[in-house]
Amino acid sequence: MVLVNEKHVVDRILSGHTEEYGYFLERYGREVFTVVARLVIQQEDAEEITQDAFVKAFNHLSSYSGQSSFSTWLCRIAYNEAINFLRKKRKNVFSVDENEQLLNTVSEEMVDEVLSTEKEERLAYLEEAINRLNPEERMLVTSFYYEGRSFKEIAYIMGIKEKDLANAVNLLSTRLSRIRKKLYVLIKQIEHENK
Amino acid sequence: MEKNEHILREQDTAMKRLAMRQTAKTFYPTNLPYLTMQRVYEERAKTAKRTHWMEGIAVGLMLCLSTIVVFFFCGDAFRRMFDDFFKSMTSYSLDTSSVALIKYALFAFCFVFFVSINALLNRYFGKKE
Repeated sequence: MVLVNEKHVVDRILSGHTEEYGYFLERYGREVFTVVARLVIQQEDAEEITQDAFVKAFNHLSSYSGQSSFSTWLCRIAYNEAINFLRKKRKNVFSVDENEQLLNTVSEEMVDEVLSTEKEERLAYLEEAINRLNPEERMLVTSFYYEGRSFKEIAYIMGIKEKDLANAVNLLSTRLSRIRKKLYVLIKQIEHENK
Repeated sequence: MEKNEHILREQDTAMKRLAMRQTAKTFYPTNLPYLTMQRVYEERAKTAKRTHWMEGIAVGLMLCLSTIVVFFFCGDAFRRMFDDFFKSMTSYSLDTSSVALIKYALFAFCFVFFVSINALLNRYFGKKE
């Protein structure tokens, strides 16, 4: 595989070689689309938002400092676009409806047992439970488990402030732990609904 | 106490299996890069057009402002010059040398002014091939 200096490609695009932006589209198009598709679900919306994200990234290319990888920077823009889209559609982006007391009754062992299942039926319930999470939680779960991103990367994509990035690991670890419990509760709910 | 990233990933095997399924499920349209690139080109053209308009407006404003400033500081002198010129044109006591000088100066001024305006308008608003 040929290693390309992405900052160099960015500089060339900024100096007028617009056609070289195609390199980023070919390389990261699928990745960005996947991130968006997990948040907005609808295929057409995901395509539109992916395009918007790439166009926005092109318009703000000069602000790419090279601090993070280009793909992470792109995903951050795509994530913001998707969240704004959901806000406009008045979807429940940041729900606070879960019962805190109920979550506290769920132990780590119970969650571990559910999330390490091999049964097809349980996997289907888990998939449904993930779809019932709000977009922010879904983003955290899918980025962490499906894409294997680190907490620091996820924090950057989700727009956690620069000064808080150092604490991002603790912050997201706590959030994920809570989401795992929520998944357990949701799976139980789905099981109950299917009885 | 929260578990660390590595342990969580290893332990939640159900998530791993779902991840593999999800990757297969996502339908990525192959023409998306092409369509996006078209939008990028459109965006670039729009930005270029907007920049041209902004430059045109800025140049126009500068021209207006500089004309106002010139007339503010030299307005009286211009008026006197024109008064003298028309007086000398209508009277028969012509000092031919001064009238000729003013005529040529005025002609040169108008010529330069209109040629510049024409070039400027052509540059910013003229049809491009």
